[in-house]
Amino acid sequence: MKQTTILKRSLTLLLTLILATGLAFSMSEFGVRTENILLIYVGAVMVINIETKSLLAGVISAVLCALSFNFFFTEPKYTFMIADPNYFISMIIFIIVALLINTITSRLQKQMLVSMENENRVHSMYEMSKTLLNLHQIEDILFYVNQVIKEGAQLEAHMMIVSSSQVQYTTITDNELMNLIQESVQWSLAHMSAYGASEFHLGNKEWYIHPFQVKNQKEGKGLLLLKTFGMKISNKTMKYLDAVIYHLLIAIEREFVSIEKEQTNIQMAKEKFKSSLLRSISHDIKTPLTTLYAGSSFLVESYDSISDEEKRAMLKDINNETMYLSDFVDNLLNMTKIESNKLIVKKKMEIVEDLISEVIKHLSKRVGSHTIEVIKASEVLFIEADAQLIIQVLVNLLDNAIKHTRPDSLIRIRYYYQNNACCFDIEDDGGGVSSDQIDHIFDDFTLTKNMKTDQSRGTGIGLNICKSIILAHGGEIHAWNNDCGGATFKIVIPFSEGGGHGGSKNSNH
Amino acid sequence: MENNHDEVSLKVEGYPLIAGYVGIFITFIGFFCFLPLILLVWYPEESVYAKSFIVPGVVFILVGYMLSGFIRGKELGNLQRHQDAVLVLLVWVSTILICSMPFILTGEYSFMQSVFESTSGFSTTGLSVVDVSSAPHMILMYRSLMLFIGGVGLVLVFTSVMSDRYGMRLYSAEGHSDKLLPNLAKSTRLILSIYGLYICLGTAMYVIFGMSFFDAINHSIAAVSTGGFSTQASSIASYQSASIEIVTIVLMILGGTNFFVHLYLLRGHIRKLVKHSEIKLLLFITLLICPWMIISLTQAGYSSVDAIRHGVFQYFSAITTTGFQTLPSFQSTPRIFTILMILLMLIGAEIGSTGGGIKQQRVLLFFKGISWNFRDKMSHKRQLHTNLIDKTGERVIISDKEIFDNFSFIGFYLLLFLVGSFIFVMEGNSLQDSMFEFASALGTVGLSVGITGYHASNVILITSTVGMFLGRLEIYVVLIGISKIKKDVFGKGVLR
Repeated sequence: MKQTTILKRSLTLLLTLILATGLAFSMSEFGVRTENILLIYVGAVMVINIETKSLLAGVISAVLCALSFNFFFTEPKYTFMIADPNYFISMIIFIIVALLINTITSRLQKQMLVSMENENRVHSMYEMSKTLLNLHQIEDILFYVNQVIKEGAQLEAHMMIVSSSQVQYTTITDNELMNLIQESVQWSLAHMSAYGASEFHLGNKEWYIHPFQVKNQKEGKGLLLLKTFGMKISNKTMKYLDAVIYHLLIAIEREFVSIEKEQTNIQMAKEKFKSSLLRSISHDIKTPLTTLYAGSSFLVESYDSISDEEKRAMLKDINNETMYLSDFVDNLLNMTKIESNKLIVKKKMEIVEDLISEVIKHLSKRVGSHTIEVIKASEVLFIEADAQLIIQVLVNLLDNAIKHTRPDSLIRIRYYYQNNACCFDIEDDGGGVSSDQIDHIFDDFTLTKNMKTDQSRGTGIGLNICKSIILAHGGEIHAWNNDCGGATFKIVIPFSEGGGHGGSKNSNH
Repeated sequence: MENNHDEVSLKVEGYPLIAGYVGIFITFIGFFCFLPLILLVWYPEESVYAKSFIVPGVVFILVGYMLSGFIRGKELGNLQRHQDAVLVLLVWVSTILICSMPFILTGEYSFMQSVFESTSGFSTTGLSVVDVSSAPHMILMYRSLMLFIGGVGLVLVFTSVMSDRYGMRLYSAEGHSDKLLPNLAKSTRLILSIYGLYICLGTAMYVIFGMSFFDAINHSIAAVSTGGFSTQASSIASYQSASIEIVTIVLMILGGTNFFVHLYLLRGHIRKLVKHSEIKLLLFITLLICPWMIISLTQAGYSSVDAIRHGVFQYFSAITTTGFQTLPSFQSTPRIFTILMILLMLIGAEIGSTGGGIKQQRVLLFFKGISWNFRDKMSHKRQLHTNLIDKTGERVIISDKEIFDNFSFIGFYLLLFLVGSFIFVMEGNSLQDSMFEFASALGTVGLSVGITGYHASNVILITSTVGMFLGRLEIYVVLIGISKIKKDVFGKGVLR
């Protein structure tokens, strides 16, 4: 016991005793009978007992009261003698009554303390369940419960959620502490029993570890760590902690359910996306296949009855469709590579002019009545790029331009040097892109509305692939509508250090 | 009492809280009852009276202890609106009743006489039913202690002992308008120590000029508290000493001065003091009325030296609401002198002092209010004026509401004055005597023409007790407290 408490108790005892004696003295001066004086002392004993909250002080005060009664108020006065044997009996009764009162009041006080503690805990439980409803991060929940335990049980606490021997969530931020308790945590998890309750310990004596099962989680386990300094936790506190853990579990399980729900939602969105992709792809493959099938079967069945010119025209159609299919499959392949992050860019020094001529050659059979004008740069440009991919981008863009413009229209492709980068502009004089689509034109599966016609079919994956490829080259791609109608796509591919611009210099020499 | 059932509240609020606070006050007052017992060291022959102090002391310590069980060791809520007034009222009433117990227990005074004496003490009035020539020293000292506690303010003394976060509202509810230091407990201790210093100096001066030590300390306390209980039957007059009168005048002025003035005096801000509006008013009133009183005395046949001595002394005794006397009786003084005394007692001391009355600042504001009103009526409609008053060297803007509050306070005060005087007249006294006596009670002065005293009827005692009580607590706290209790008990009938 602290010395100050002892001092305080003795002072209270003394003061009350003096006051009671003073009152008793004055009362007897006023002529109050001596028997009643004892009642004042009974009151004093009670007050002392309530104030000091100690049985010992109560007993001492009872004895002192009896003595002072003897000394001051029984004949012969101011001695510890008693002349009248009646007073003997009175004093014995007084001491018995005082002791009875002592025990009763201390028991009452203990009960009051217990009920007050319970009240506080019920209150904190109520507050806790109310607050937990408003918390939505598992970490937040754990930190909050730490705080609740600190307030409710006066213990420093930490929380840990472990799933298949991997720590998923923890409130421990201190690595040192983590290392200290690691062994005991593993022991506790393996045996699923409290660590630190007995003499046995694994390097850590301060922390008591209490494991608990988390439902709805495969092999999910929770750990409550309490800094007890090796002291035993009382039954009452344990019950309180159990109740706290119960509330915690409800909150955590609710949180897990909501996380699962979120994941299901994402999964569903993905499925939806896949099925729409499949639908559009199968449509795009089906149409040229039908043409191929119709043309080839007609040729097989009536090869002799048709003229050579008609045969040639049909074969040309078949060739066109095959080329389209081949491009399409290329795109699809690239896309799946990009999706699964397996697109490997094999960069090599390429002369831009060669790339452009390759593109023109590729497109020559599809151009029809469109005119493609190439405006060259004033110097020879080298870029470091994967020729195949860049050609595909340019083919996609030009193909787009062909599809989306009227016959006989002019398509311009221009490349030039600007800001240490090689730029490609592809301009057409068609109807342009509608303003609400131009912002999303490079996103997945953006189909323009007039794409239903056979001539301008598309999957909507072309531009998305273009963007991915250009980004893989560290470049940029933009699209905008011209002032005079028609759209412009601009590609910027930066020169790598010591790269292609040197080529232009060489050409100048 | 609103009780929000959604929130689980463990705080103590409402009447249990008030009861708990009152309990702590009562414990405090119980210990206060023991203070006169110290005198037994010097006057052991008076030990027969000790029981009269011990019994109420212990009993009320116990009562207070039990009442304080409402709040001890619990989380305390806030006092709601007007509950502070209820608390201050209850504290004052219970203090007065408890402190009347020793008088009753001596067996020499009736209940009403005891309550009257106790009220007179705590309101620093000085009207008395005690025969000072035969009363024991303990009773005399006890009266002086009541003056000191009552003059400084019960709550103020309490907050200086126990620092409490709700003390501030009680502090202002008791009529201390200005906050001196940021820390309440510190400022109350400062106030107490400054008054303590004045009392010590006063006692020393009195002893030097030939008073006995016991008389000196009692008179010193009575003068600084502007109380006026004397240990001599004929008050200061019994010493027939000009130097004692001068010391008394100085002490009375100190007691009747705004506490801010003391603070600035100690800190040496003399310039701020000269500008302080109340000081100017005091000078003006002094120069106007004091000579007038002296002249009226000379006309009544006093020698010029006597006239100056009595005139100046009685002037300060009245305006500081102390109530010491050098004149043997006010029955034989000229009428104009008595009327002027009534006027002075109505005006009273400075705000924030230990004195009573309407208070000089209110009187000043009253006249300023009239002149401002007249000015506004005369000047152009669209012209706006700012109403300023000098408060301890700072110019403070006075709002219309404050002016109105001030008018209504003074009106109510004068109404009370008339009603009290009327009751005195009904009891068979002359109008002038009645006005003098009730102005003295209401202004907590204590000068008497003899209406109150040991042989006064209960009606007189009750009337003057109520007057002293209202005068000390400045009326409104009492009215607010009573109407709040009435509303809570009889109004909605919801008591928590």
